[in-house]
Amino acid sequence: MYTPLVRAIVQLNWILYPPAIQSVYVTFLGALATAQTTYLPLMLASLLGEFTDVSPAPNGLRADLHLHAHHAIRHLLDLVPSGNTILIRSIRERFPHESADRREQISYVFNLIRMGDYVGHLKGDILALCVDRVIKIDVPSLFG
Amino acid sequence: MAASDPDLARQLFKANVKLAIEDRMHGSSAKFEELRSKFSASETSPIEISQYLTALTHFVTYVTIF
Repeated sequence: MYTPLVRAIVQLNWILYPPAIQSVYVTFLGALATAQTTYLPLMLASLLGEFTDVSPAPNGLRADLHLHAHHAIRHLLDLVPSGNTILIRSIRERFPHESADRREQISYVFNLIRMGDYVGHLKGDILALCVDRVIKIDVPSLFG
Repeated sequence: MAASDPDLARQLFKANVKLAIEDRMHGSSAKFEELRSKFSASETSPIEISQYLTALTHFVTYVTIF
């Protein structure tokens, strides 16, 4: 019933907000994830989408902005431990297409590896997904 | 929306969010759509976003909605 509103909220460019407002945003995501886990896939998909954003950051490095998305993901997983399964599925679904810009692919994989710092138990699954994707990209380029 | 008293401002945002939620619950969508559009409109300032999110967090946490 409230999906259009939640969708509008997760599409906000919150990563560029001042830290105090980012904190309000992450708190809201956490409250919603706790109250209604059904919105978690939408939230995680949106946060993972930040990792394919390689556009120049207005102030500083894009990689630093990605850290805010990591913080939000970590917060959600702390609150909803069952979110790990959803996270793996979302990671698979949000993987940039093989034909996508190489910088996006690199940024996404780089951030997945970073994710291993706080979801250590998923490291194996994440690496397996990355290797699988690398093979998918590499094989056609060898024989194409 | 502007108010000199921060508490008053907070209450106003909360009232707007409550109206939007009730609107949606009763099958209408005007107020709900108004709230949704606040999050997509480029003219909504981060401060306003923050106020709406704070109000929404309250309802999500303490009222069975969503």
